[in-house]
Amino acid sequence: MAEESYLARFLDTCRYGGIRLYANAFIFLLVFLVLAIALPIGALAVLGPLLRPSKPSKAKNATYESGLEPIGDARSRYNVRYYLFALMFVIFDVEIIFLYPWAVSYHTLGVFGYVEMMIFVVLLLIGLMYAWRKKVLEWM
Amino acid sequence: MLTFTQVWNALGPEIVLAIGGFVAMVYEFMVTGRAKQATPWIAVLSVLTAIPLAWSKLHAPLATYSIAVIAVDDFGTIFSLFILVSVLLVLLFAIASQARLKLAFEYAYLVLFATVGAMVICSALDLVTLYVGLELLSITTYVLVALHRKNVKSSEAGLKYLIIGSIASAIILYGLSFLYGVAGSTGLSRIATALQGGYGSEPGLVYLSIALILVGIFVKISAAPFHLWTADVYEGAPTPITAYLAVVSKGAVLGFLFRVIVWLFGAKLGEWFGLVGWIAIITMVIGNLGALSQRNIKRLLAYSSIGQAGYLLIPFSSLSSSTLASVMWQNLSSTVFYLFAYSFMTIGAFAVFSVVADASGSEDVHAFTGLSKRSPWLAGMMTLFLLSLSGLPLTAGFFGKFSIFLGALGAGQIWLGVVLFATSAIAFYYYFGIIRAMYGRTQEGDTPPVRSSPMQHVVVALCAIGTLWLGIFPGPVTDLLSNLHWFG
Repeated sequence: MAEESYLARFLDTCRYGGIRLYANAFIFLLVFLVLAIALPIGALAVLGPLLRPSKPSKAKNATYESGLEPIGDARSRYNVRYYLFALMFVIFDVEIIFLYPWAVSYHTLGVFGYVEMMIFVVLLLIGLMYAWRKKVLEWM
Repeated sequence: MLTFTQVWNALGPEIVLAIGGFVAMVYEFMVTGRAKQATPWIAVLSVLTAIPLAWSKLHAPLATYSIAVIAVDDFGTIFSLFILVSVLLVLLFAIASQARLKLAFEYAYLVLFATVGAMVICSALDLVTLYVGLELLSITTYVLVALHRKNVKSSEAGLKYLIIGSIASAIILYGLSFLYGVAGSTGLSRIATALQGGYGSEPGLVYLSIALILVGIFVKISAAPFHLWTADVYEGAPTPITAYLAVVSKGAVLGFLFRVIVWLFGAKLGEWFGLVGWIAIITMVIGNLGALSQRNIKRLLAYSSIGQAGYLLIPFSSLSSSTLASVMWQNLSSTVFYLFAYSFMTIGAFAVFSVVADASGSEDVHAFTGLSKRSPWLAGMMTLFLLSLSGLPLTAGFFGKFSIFLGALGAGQIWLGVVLFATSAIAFYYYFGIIRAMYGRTQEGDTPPVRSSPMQHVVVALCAIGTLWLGIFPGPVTDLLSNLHWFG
């Protein structure tokens, strides 16, 4: 009987969908959130210290730098120009995200989809030309 | 399946503007030197092409394009026309002040792209499309505000606007996400069906959703408790862009408010009119009292535009307090009439201010001292715009405020109308400070005469004609507005 009523409730939820399903989605999210916080804390801060022996020495505490003597600060500075290249890369990365599904369903989308995608590609091309003419692609 | 004709019918003016924007963009980065000066004219040309296109859509039979999620109705069309007229004035204003401002020519097409976003907001029928339009408008205006990137004030304004604006967008998106969660669809009509003309099965979530959407919109139109960014951003932005923010950005977001809230909740909005009414009152009072202590004219006009946002919220509050259709149409048309009036008088005031500030190198009230001697024409025009902003008879501002008052009266909200006129009296006090500086005081020492280009006179004259026309012969426009089929 118990199983049946659970099943009935589950089907009920599916059938009337809407808000209960919506709320259930958030319960799953909550479970994931709790797990995502609890697992690393449990492993690193609770279980780890209990299991591992603790015998620190100067060499053990030093920063690992491929077996060499650590030199300088861990924080190193990058040239700000990389930022523009990263930005350009993201644009074309996103273009690929749109091009793949379009290519897969090319036949169902037809001429309309083709023209739409060409417009999209040309707009990105104009963006690239803009960056090129504004000397974004030149290092100096 | 969607056809190209349908797309053109639904989005003709927007497509023209987008093509114009990209043509201007390619032109701007391909040519060098003085030829770049033609870039804004390409933008002007595309706006001039889009205006008749939008005009021809007026009174067209209602059509909704289910896949394009765009509605062609008179509400969207009349808001598009308001946006296009204002953008035309702003572009001409920017071209006129180019000699001193030396704006990067990118502004020409950024303004066009922002305008496409603004127009999409007013005619979209889908939460996702609405939000994309809102973001197109917002992101381009963040860039436009910081156009003088070497200028400290401009970059500060840009950063402030970016942070506040994106938080507001995020809050709106959060609100929209609850609507989707409750209704299971992003289409406005389907959501309205799912909510059964009320709050559906989950009133709590819908309440939360409306509250979040309203907060985000109040930030964007700078209504009172959310207005703190306005003065700094308006002061730091280049003056034509300030005019754009004050007029187009505000008007378009107001269109978003009407579209989403009225379409979704219709007559069931009654419970919210009190809240919106109070926000309108607080906005009118704070905006007009805040302007009293401002010495910088740009900040003064910024506070004044906060007050105007309050006036523009009155019709929304009155419309939600009544279930009569006639009240809704009356309040919608008074909103649109006031938006047109607001556009002419605000852009005009900013245009005169820009000439005067340019001549005296100061943005202070003192820049206007003795303007009646130095340039009687500009002084007269500024007086006209200020009188219109404070709502004196024979100007567009008076008629706009009067129709808002009538709308509030028709909905039985006399108290809103009373506050409207009380705060207008306060507004007259600080506008009168500028008029007194122009006419009353004599100039000590000699200041250079105000030099202005023919283009600047054209912009000021166009705005003055608009202000006077709507003030003296409002008939044709009110007739047009009362014959509209707002939502089809």
